[in-house]
Amino acid sequence: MNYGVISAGILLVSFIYVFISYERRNISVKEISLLATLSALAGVARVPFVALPNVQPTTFLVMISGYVFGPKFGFMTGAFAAFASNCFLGQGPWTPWQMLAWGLAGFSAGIFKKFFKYPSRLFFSILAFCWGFLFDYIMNLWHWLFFVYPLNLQSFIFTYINSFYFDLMHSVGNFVFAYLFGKDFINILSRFKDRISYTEIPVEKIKEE
Amino acid sequence: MIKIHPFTMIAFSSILFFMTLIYTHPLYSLSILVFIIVGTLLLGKGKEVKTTMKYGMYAAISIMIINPLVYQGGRTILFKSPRLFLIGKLKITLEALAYGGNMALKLLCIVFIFLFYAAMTDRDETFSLFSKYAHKLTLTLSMTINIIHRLKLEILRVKDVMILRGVNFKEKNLIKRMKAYYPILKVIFIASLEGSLDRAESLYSRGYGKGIRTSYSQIKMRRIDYFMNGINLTLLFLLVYSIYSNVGFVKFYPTFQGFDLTDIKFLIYIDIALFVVILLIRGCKKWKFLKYRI
Repeated sequence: MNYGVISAGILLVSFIYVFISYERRNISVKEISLLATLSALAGVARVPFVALPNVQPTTFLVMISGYVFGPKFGFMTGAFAAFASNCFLGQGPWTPWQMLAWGLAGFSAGIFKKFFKYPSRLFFSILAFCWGFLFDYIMNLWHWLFFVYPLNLQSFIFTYINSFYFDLMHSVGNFVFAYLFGKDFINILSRFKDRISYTEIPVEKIKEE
Repeated sequence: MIKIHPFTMIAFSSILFFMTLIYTHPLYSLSILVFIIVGTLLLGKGKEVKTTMKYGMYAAISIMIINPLVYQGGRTILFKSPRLFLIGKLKITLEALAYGGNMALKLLCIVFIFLFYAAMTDRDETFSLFSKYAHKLTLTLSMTINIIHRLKLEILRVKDVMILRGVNFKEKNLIKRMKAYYPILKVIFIASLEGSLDRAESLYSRGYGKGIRTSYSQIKMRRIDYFMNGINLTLLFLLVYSIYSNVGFVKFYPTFQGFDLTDIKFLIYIDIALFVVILLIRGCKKWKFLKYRI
């Protein structure tokens, strides 16, 4: 059994499902435009930090957009950010896994909000910290399934230990970004959310007169 | 640049991709790798090949190092260490080394297939192919890519304004420098959100989503596409046939058995098909007859 091929197949099918459901949803132009902007912001944020290994604000940006606009929106932001930024940094077999990992980061932040309405700054930062590790664990899973043989506990642990410092950098970076910018950016986004969903006050009475 | 229909290229690269994943014979992966690198070089993408090679080699070497350390199986022992703290005895076997090498080769192959695809097709054409079936997705994606370009200009603009107002970005103290950069992030964040509203309004005012979309240009299948699709079918047939008759597979464990002659004979067919593609690429670039006829 080639688990690498099977996992890639499952991933592909589930992405097709997610994208078809996005296509069928009755989504407004405002949402499309906002989604594109947030994904672009998250994607472009990877570029200036390329020199620092694995430190980038993308995870944090995807998470706050999921947090403010809900789990589905967060997933799509993460997936698009990964795909679009890889158009510049190089597409590869890692793209679908990055899409999955960032998508899930956004999704989980959306779910998180449903349980904790007003999390403290530290609490949110700790969530971001955890996602640093989780993101890299999903990426490691890909590496392990494809290129390591045999698939047993020993090789699993070895693969994960091997990237520990790398993952730690990501997590610490996330923590710092979330701690410094988290509150501000969530406020900006929440205000913006109110702005795009405003309704006009009816002026029927003046018209009648 | 050779213009090939994106569908043809998607089919071609995915067949190559599955071939690399399914075959375990290193010579098969090697011949695909050589073919792709030659093809990409013929297209004049030497610089990209170099940078991809750099990344690919780094990942490949890490696979080659980790694999023999993790897996202790295999019968031909090359090196046996004395008892080490926590890990125990470590032995490196020829089989594990060979397996690691083969996997590294596969990784390089996969990375280069993606590069080859990017070199052979135009990104916009791939988008327009998909926009027929999934226009919301493609619209979002092409908007995202467009905004990334705009953001780059925007950042420079905001930075200029900030410098005029007296912010020093060349501060030597790291914390002070970060403090100088923070407002940029915030300004860009707010400005791009405002921009997203403007874009949405302009899309709406142009009647987006009101009916069937118009398109200015169509991508058509040409002679070269039919030819390439013929090769695709041949490769697909060869792949299915080889799985059916168990050709192209090598067992690394418990003992590495060397290469079988039937495998190598079968490889010749695949290589001929790939060589024809190389000739086609070169032909379309250099030979006038093919360039204008196909």
